[in-house]
Amino acid sequence: MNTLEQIIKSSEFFFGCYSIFYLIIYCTLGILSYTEIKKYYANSAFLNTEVLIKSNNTIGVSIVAPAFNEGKSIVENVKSLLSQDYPLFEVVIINDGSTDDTLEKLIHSFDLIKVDYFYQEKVKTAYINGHYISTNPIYNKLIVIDKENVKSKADAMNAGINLAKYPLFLCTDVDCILRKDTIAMLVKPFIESKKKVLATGAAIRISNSCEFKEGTMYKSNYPKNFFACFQELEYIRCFLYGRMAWSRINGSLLVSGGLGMFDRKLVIEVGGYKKESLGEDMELITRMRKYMYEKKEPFVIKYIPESLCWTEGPSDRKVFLRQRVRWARGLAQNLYIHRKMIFNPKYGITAFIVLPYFILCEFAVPILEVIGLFFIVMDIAFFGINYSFLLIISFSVYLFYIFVTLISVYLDQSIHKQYSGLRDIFRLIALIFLEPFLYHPINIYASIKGYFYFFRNKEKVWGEMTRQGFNQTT
Amino acid sequence: MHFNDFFLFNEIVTQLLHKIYPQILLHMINLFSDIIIETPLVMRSKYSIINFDVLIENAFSVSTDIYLFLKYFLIPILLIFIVFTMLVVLIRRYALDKIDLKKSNLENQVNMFLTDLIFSVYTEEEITLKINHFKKEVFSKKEVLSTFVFEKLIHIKQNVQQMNQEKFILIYEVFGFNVYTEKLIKSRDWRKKSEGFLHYQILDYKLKKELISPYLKSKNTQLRSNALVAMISLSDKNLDVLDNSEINISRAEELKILDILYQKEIEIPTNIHKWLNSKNDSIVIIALKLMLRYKYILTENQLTTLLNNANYSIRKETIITIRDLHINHANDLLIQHYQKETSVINKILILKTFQKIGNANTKNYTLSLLSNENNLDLKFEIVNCIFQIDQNFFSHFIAKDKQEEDLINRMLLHHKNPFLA
Repeated sequence: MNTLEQIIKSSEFFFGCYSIFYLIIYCTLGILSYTEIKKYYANSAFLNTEVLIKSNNTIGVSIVAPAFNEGKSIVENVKSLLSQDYPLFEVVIINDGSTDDTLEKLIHSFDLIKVDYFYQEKVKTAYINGHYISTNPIYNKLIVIDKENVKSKADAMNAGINLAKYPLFLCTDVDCILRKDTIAMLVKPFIESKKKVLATGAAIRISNSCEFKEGTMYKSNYPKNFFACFQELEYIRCFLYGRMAWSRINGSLLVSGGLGMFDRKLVIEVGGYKKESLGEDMELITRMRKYMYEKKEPFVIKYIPESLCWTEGPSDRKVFLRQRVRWARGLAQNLYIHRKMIFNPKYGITAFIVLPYFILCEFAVPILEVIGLFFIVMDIAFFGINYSFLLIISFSVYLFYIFVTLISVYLDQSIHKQYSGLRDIFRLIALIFLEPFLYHPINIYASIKGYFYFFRNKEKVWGEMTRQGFNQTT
Repeated sequence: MHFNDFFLFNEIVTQLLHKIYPQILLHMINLFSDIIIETPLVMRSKYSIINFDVLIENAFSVSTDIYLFLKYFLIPILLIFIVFTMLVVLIRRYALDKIDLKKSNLENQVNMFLTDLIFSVYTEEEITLKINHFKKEVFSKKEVLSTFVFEKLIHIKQNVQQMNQEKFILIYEVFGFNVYTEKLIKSRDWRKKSEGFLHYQILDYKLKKELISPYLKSKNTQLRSNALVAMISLSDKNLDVLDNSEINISRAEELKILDILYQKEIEIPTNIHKWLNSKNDSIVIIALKLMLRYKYILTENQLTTLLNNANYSIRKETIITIRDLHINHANDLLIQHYQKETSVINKILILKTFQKIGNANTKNYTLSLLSNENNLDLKFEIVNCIFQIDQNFFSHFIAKDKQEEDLINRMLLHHKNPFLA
């Protein structure tokens, strides 16, 4: 056996072992997710959200939402945020140096005036141009910060956190449409848990093709756009299969920037969002976990299996790729920044389970897939290949993937009657079978590109999301 | 939400997973051990160089096993699971759509029937006759539809004030929903029991509250909590359940109890002053919140005791009560307490209270704090406190340096803005 052949054969052995490891991990995640969802619904009636919505004694929440060039939909979206069913909240919008008419629209639509707000920079941010509040009592929960853009969503979020007056803040994007009881649902774990809750999160859905009425979801349709429809499928799997499982063992490393509730004091103590980070949501959670381990205080990060937020997904290849490249870079960056936590006994399961999982099953997968393909080509070209074996093993992997996604869809459909009709469900199921061939390769390409940029230390760019706006139903 | 379906089907899936998953795991472990065991021991010794050739050869010798395992075990199992899950998703959705359609068709009929029954003048016999006829016509043998009617009845009870309670209970009983609730309470599942408690709670069905009381001592904390809340809801006037200081009340339960007490609009319990001395901090907090609601003015002695309580939340509630009830005679007490207070949040609350009940003494006291205070949140409130008591004070105030003056001016600009107040 020559060296090249030895390498090829060794790698085949490695890939075999890795596949089995991956399969075991995903089966375990499925079981964890299922038990967590079951536990959630068993306890869901304990503190009815109605009680929270009516109560004068609940915890105050600040909704913090940065906006950059959102002129097209800003007014409707802010109205939607203001229409939350919760007794004690405020909405902090950060106009992050928009070059379009975002600020003007806000001023005009909500009767805003500039005020001399006593702003405390608890977390350092870029220059603040001014604060605006409404003269109309209907909008007395709204406050707008106009700040300089430094190409960082994290910086905008930090400005909002500095200004927020309540002990909890809900981080979201201004293009997100929230379910009316979002605050109440996310506050619940903070009230119910005996341990310190660092953050809570819930499932996010794609809003493309959905119909909205007066800032709330009216009709849920399965997205029609190529990228949006696969993203919806991906979100279902990711939130219900992945994040619920991590929540079960208190191993969540990510509370999405699109929807997450945080303990404000703690976020300020750890220094807020990191401006340089491209995956600032994951980085913040990792840092918060690290901080709590160092303080030796027990904590929890909770995910709930409810769909509370609808966001517009990228609908063209360019924007989609940019988003995914940024996410991949963010992942690599976060793992690099916190590399010293790995296998450090001080950091408990984060060190021994969560971070190794993220390295082996999230970061490494795109790279291994490309290497795997390379070896198959090499085998075909130089050493011959057992096609029936290749076919059987590929088919097994394919079926396993279908199985995992179908279980996620089943869980999703069991929780809520999503989508308006059976036709959408048929489409959803059909797409499960197509995803590995049509969507997955694009994702792999974006991840590899993201890693490449990370290792080359290419200048980070957030990029602009082209908004289509929401379908309004009258 | 369709929890029952969810739990039922998932029970089947769990059973399957519990049986099949360990088998798959075992098979894989066997394959691994085959590879390792078949490699001669010497090659795994720390003194030898691992011969990959042999290891790989061994690995490939079991590749036939893997092939057979995948072909005849994993693939068929996955295919069965996939087809089964797909069918379940589709059939379940089809069935749900059908039921929802039926429900929406029935909605008007049910609403009209229940409204007529509740708000018209019928004798007991007429009500019985009408309900029996309705049951026969609309939901005979269909439990889903019966639950739908019950949900509607509960909805009416929750949303309509001042209805004839006796008549409502009669309707509830003639429909046979009391049997359904009792069945829930007697079931083994604690979730169903809790649902039953909730029915009694909403319907104010005091007749069978003895069915709930045994669960006040349940080991299941959630069941115990739900029983406690239901018992409070079904209690009369003095809420004796809360006199028992051994019951541990969580923050969530506190909110639930307060919700019930506010909803019931009961008179202030005559034993409420006893609650202030309770060893259970949650009961003290509930008492304070109720006192605030009923504008019960606390005595100086009571306030002193409460402000000296070791629990930060009790001190917080006391300060809020003083602030919201404008208890002016507590001003000096708060001045004395301010330096002793360890929580910044409570200090901020005291300063906010001063803004409402403060006098010249308060102004002098807060002024003495101003220049030495480094915490900006506290300084901000101190400035506001002085400003609220004496609006002209800062027009001739000289700060210790330019930086301090700028800071105070920035704070003042904020406080002077009517939209920010």
